[in-house]
Amino acid sequence: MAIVHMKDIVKRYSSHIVLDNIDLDIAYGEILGLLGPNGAGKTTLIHALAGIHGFDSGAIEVFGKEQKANLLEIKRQIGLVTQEITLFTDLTAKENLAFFGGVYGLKGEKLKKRIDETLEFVGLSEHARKLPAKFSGGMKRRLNIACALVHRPKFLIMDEPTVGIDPQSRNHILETIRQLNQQGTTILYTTHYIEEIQNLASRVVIMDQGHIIANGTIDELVKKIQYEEKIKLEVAAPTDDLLERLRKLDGVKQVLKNEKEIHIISQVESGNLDRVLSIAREFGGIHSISAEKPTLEDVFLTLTGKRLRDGGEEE
Amino acid sequence: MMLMKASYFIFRRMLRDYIGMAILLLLPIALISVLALIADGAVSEPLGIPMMDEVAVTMVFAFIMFGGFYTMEYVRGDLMSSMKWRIYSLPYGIHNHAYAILISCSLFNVLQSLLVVFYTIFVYNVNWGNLGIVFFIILLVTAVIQLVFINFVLGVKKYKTAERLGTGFGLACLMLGEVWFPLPDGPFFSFLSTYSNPFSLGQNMIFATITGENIEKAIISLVIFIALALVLAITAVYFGRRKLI
Repeated sequence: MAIVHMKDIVKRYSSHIVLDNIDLDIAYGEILGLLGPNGAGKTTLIHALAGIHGFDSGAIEVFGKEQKANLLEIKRQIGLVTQEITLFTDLTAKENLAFFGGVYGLKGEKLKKRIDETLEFVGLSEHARKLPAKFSGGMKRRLNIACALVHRPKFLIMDEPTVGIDPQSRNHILETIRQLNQQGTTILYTTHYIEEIQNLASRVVIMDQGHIIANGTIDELVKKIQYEEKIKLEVAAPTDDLLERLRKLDGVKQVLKNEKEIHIISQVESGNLDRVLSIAREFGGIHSISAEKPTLEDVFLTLTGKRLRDGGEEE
Repeated sequence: MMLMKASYFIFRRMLRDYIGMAILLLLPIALISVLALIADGAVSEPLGIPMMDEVAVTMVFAFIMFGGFYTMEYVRGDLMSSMKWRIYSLPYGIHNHAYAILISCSLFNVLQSLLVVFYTIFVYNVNWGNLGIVFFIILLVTAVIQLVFINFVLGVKKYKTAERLGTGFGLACLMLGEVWFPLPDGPFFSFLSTYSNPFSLGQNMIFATITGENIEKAIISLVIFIALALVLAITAVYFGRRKLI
């Protein structure tokens, strides 16, 4: 069942089409990774989903209700973690959460409890009474997330929540996201770090120039572009005989030698790894062997022609 | 209810704005203290009140003319920077936040002005007349000034331009209010110095409270103020709808 259903969404800024007939469903309980180069339309899509601005045509349903700009009923159940750190720097961590929690209708003891729980959840309990100005980048990011969590949203939208932080804080945030998801929160996650999507997302959507150009699990997307597999072999003596034997294997397209390293490129699912191993053993010691498969990064590069972290941070 | 909560938090944020506090609270107190040394015992000729009383009234209203920078800064910070995406995503109308800014900035500015008023009463024995009326007048003038500045920040494209307009507005008010030099004689300039700006209008009302004279002038000033507040509120809503999504 879908928590979000988008159908034929079109959004224009004057004559420029930013979202071009977007169809997208997000299932309850999933972490959907949204990838796209700068200017792909990710942030516009997120803003339309969160009800921040409208769209020119199409329909969005969130929680089975029609989403329009500034529809408070739906906004109450969504949390948005913004790309920039959007905190009141002149309010303490606790006061920030009290403000945002209050806007979502929490009050009294319930609000207090939620604030304490949320600060605990993001590991900032000890810093509750400090101003964010005194926080490290990672702590600010965690508080930024906490502000979107205090009302316990069923659907959390995270727009590049880990930009510019140290690996330790990033791991903490990723673990927090996993826990949230395990607790039943549906998450839409955008990032420029492909490894985060690989670690977190159950499904990936790739956008480019206002279109969705790929949609599926990582394995599905990899299969789409997987035409060949590569085996990298390092041996003691890469003789011409060895190379010749490898070339004669079924499905092998190319064998290349680079000093002691041999690259064998075969058709996809040729099952040559075992055969390569046994031939190589006949010719002496094997130092190392590895089979390389396309990664999500390769998928992204193949489909968009761009590297994910090309250019600036913003759309 | 939400408006009250938001106003409370904005007020709290303002309490931690030490620069604003230094400029709009400590600076007038310092200037009054210096001018008190000069005004010592003198009497203001046209009004027939101690010079110190006139200095106090002038200083309080002069700084109120610049109090709108609070509103401007908070509108920019919350509704025109990246913070706006967070605010826009909340189940809470943007106009509510703008009103909350307006309310808390007005009250904060009133509070600062009243602190200066009390300082002049306790240290220099300045006679402000009925303090309830003084509070009402300061509240009215402050609210109008915040509305002027919110119009500036919402009405122009660049924040820098709004800042310049704010500074120009404050200085123009003081100039028309004859703080630095008298305007030339004649009915036109007399009208300008009496009714053309919030500074003079505020002074008219306060001096009427202190002296019990020129009540008619004070009533005209009050009517102009109320009309001005209504017009500015309407234009602020218009500009707000245009600028804030």
